[in-house]
Amino acid sequence: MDVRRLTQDELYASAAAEFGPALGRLARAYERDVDRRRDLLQDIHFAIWRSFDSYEARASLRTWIYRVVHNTAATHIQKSRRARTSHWIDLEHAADAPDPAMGAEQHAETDLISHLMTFIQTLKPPDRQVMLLYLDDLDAKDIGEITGLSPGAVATRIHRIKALLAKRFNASSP
Amino acid sequence: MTTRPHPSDDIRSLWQSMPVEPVSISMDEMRARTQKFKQKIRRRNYIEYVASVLVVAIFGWYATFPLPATPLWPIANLMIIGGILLVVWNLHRKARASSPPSDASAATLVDFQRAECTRQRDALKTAWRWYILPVVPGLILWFIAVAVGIPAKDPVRAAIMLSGTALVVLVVFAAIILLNLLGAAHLQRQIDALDRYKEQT
Repeated sequence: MDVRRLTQDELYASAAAEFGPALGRLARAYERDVDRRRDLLQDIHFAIWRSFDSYEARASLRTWIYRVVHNTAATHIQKSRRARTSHWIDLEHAADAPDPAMGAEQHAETDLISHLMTFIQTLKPPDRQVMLLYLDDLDAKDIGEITGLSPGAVATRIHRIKALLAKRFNASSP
Repeated sequence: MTTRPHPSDDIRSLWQSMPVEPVSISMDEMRARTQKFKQKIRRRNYIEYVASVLVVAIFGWYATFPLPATPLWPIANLMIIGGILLVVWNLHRKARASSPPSDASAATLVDFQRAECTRQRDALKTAWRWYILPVVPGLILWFIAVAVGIPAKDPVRAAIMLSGTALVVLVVFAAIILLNLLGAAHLQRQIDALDRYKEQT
């Protein structure tokens, strides 16, 4: 029996079971088009499985998974011909960017999610990644390990993200 | 139109409870996909080899033409063949070098993006050297051979036509180099932005 292959398969099965919903959310945040999103999600699953060929627990499983997912998705949007990179903004300027839902006092959940998705898709990839990791409830230390940013840089981004979410979506800042 | 009040202030809870489509991929499908990827690479290599054989055949055939009546003519064609084979070998070498190891995508996000941009920038920045330069000596000699080896009834008209053709080749090469350099500059700006982003607090 090929133990190495079994380990790779087992690791993937465990990761897919634990992180499956998170992978779906991230694919949705990176790709608007339904068909292309399905392709991206399959690419993500394939990249995770393939990465376990050389997984040596150098990083925690969660850190490893999130790195693979975001790197695969970032490559996907860079390759996309439809990506209008010139329209992407960073967190610093996002506060001043026009809000399409301005004036609406409250949103239905689905509206709020699609509004949030639209907003996330306007962010430049590094800020988008920090935002998505924050939304997935990762703490500053984990975000730093995944992104490679210093603790100070992560803290600054999280502060901006909280302020932005509070301003645009009337969310609490926990 | 009325909207339901938002049930929670915590946008993160809402985000995490968002319904998503389940995806199920079997291990056999994963392995089949790996095989498909390898087949794609093999197919691309075959196309390169077939194209190389065609180019060698065409310029080899040109080299046997009795006109232009100068020894420069077969030499020029052989030099072009050598140049194009060098370009194909460079393409093959670079494609192999760019195939990422299976754990490359597990690098930190900033490092991964920086490495990708750097790899693409270097390929574009040096394209003139490995994509254009190898065929230039042969092409120059090719035009010289045509100019000195073909007796023209109207030398002025022949010179104008030859210069025009050479100019078109020059413009095409210059455009390729310029577009590559512009692409490299764009990638360099992305690299600089990533460096600033990493240092920014």
